[in-house]
Amino acid sequence: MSYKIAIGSSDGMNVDLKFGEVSKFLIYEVDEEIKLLEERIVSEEKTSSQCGDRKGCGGSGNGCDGQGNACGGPEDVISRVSIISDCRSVVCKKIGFQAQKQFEKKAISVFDVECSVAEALEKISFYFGKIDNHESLRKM
Amino acid sequence: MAINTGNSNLATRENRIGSITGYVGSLKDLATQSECGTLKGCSRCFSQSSTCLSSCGLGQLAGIRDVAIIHHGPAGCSVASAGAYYMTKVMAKKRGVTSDTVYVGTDMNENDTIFGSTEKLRDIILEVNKRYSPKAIFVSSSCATGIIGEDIDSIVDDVREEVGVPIVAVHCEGFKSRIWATGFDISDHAILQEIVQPPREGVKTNKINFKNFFESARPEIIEMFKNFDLDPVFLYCNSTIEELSHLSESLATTCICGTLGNYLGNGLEEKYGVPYVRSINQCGIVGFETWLREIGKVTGRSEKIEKYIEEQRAIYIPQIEEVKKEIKGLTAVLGMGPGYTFEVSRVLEELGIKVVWALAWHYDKKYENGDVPPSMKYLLDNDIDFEASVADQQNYEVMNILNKYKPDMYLSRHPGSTVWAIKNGTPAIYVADEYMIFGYKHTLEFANTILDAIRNRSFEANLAARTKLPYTDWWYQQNVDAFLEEVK
Amino acid sequence: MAKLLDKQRYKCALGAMQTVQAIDRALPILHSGPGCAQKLSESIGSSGYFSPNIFPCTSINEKDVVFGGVKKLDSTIENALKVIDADLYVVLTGCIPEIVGDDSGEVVSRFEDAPKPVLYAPTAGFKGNNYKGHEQVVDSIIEQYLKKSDKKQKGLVNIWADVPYQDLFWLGNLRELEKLISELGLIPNTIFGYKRGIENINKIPDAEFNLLVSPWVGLSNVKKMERKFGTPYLHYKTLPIGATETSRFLREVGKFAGVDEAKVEYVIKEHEDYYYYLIERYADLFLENRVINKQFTVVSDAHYALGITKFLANDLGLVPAKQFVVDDTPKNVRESIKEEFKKLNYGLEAEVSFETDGFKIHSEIRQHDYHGYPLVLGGYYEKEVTEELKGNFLNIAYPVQDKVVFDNSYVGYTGGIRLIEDIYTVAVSRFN
Repeated sequence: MSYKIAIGSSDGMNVDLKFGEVSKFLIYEVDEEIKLLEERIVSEEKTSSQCGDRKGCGGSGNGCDGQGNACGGPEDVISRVSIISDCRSVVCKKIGFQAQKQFEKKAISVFDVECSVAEALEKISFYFGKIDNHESLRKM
Repeated sequence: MAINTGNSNLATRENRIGSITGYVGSLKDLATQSECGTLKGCSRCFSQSSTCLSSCGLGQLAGIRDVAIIHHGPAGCSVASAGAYYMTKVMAKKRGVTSDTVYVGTDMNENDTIFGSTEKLRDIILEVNKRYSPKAIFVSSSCATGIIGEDIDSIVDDVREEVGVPIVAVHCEGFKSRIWATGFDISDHAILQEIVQPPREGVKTNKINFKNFFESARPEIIEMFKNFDLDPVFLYCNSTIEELSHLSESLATTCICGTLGNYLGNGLEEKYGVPYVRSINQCGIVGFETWLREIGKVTGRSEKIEKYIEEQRAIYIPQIEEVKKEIKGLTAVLGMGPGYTFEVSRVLEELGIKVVWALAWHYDKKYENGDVPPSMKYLLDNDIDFEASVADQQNYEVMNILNKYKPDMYLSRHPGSTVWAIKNGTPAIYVADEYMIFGYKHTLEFANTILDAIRNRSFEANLAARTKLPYTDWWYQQNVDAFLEEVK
Repeated sequence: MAKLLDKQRYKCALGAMQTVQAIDRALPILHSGPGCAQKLSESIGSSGYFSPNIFPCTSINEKDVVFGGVKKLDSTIENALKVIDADLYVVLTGCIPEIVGDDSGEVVSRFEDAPKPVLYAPTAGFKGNNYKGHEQVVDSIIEQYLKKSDKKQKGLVNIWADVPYQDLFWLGNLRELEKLISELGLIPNTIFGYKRGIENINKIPDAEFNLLVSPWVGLSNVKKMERKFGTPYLHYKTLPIGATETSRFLREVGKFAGVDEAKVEYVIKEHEDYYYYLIERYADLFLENRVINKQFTVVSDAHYALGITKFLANDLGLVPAKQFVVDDTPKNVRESIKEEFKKLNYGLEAEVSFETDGFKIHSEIRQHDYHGYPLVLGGYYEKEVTEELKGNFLNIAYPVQDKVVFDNSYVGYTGGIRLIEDIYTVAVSRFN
């Protein structure tokens, strides 16, 4: 079964972007082999700061009535998550808590690591490959 | 978020309801940010040991009478079986019942990590079933079985017919969450998934599900509930599978600790329409009354409850006021699970004790139904604020705080934590029993316990004068959040 | 291969964090899941200078499973050195790093020049139980920390016995063994408990010989020290409890160390005189009670099963029913341990079963004819089955719920008396 991995990288070589900094996600497909499928552009206005913007909460307190609906997290995060929601995993240098939560709801694994793109792909595909086939991660 | 009982895997608390295990700041800040969804969990570059979610999850299930827990993993994982055996025997004896619950391990070894051991697991399940004829079987994974890809779900499905009793795979891979309370959710999930049956037709009952830990106040609660024509069913310690199968028929679900009960409460509400009593918990006067009134509202018994409150107030309030005079103005630091930290903080405020710092071992930003925890909401509504941090039992942070604030007392609920306060010379109160501050009577006891604890500080003084603390001077000079790195 | 562990009596190899904890001012650093330390400890004297919630831990999560946890291990060790004031740091690895292939040894070796020694003990849970883990920790100390010494100290003896914390009496037992050895004019050296610590570890290579008091645990350690330091060893398999065995023990150690025979006999006589003064006073209780019969069973690790069987048979004249050794004893040493159970007075031989399945043990206890009330010394698990048989039960082995022990001991002459006290305290609590 093939699946996709979204990576935040400025140069295609290293995982060097924080989730909020990514302007285009590299989408890799893992099947018999791993190949770069496409790039997905995050639209311009959505690349502003992802967190710390409390305007959404409404200073009056109306926005936060404890129903949990009004504060689903900054829209920016949601839209970023949604453009890669068909992926099984997302890899960035850092990934904020709100984004992690959104991904988890969609059963997308989150890895915040600093390494080369090749290493990330190799390790994650190894992990999923083993787990999917109920094989041991034990290295001989 | 919807609770999906069709799957034995449960998203961890960290991700599902947005819990965090690293935060330092004020309570208001924590709450406000929580409401706005801007709070960021921090991770640590240095941490000390805490708790495994399997201890919470399987510990709960092992409290049920006449069931089998099969913990598939190396011997260290199933070592909790020794304590579970003891608990099974003493708790059943205290209640005057018997329990043949067994908790076994599989002593996984090196070979198994290479070749797998699911076939052996199948034999073990069948053998346990033959030996003990349990009323239900819970088969749990561990870190090791998780990462060697053991397919416990398939094995459980395979033997289901042969064992002939409810059997359920319980996923307890400790590395999946730093929040051990996820274990409580995991046990509830297992119960909802395989044990609870839809309500029988035509069955009318006055039962109310009461989720607690070790039922020490069971007799008095039964007595109290008689006044309201309610019959509490205590979970899971000494529960039977038969009792659990009918949880869906009860009038309501309530719990002694939100962290412990909210998954089951919400699950029963969502799946079977059993109302879940959402309120601050029963600690202290306000808590107790608020909780009782909520039960009254949910079950249509408000009148009886008001009458009871009135009677009890007349007995206890004057006594509590009396003790308050003596403890007013004392300062406290506390460190507990989020189900208790904010509740106990409230009670301390009620008693006139000033909370200078509250540590929650983790903090659930939203409960299952999306609300901010009621205990937190209460503090905010009443404009109570103090320094707060979220620190999954990070002892080095507790010590740092005690050393800086030098409070009159430290209150804790987790094994191994109080002794460090004492060595610091701070009197410590171990709020172990979940009913220690329950209702008027125990609130009065609690206030008196505080008074006794601070009145004689000999033990603390003796020990503090003769022991050296294990932290370097360097550490005491650091800020509490020295090891928190922000994740963005 | 995996097996049904019904009524488990041991922990996993990572349980050896308690061995480290028993060394004064030594700190375990765990490369494991967040809850391993708490699971592997209990309130049996573990809130010392360090307690399990002080142990630094990498608290492995899913990311570490996929990408490895060596970076986290590195920072955890580095900060442990900064935050916690210890003399010795021992990194213990759990299951996950071993399975996913973290090179923890390499990370630890980066701290070779740290101001305090940092050692590495691979103790993945599936590698064996905590008896093996204990050996692994001692092995790491020998291998990675100690160096051969050319200044042997005359009369200095390293003593190795119980596995700390797994054995509730470890502290008292070691102190009592030290006392006995001192009376022979030798200088005991142990590394566990109050004020032993790093200084005593440093003395290990200087010893004239190693004294191992244990049926099997630690044998690989003393053999390694023989190879590395040229230190000979005396392997005394039976934990000496009571007069018969303790006197034999003193004679054997005296002979091995070349202590003057007259001196040894003098020490023995002094002790035996007092021992039998006490026994004589209570002999009527032994003979004229209605509840203690001759037949007994011990369910424990090899250490206590052997020691107590010999004591009850040779000192008190009781008769062994079947004995159960529950520590998952390595197969290659079982025969030699079995032989030891055959060395009892009057040609008596105790039948012994190496069994980790508590269900089977209980079935056998139920089926055995004890010619009256059984006397069972074992783990807490045996309490119920013994009560069911109207027998007398004493909780002497893991898991222990019926007893709090600070520094009490069952070793030596005084230890024998303590054990008799405990057995008859149970006996006098009933009439018949």
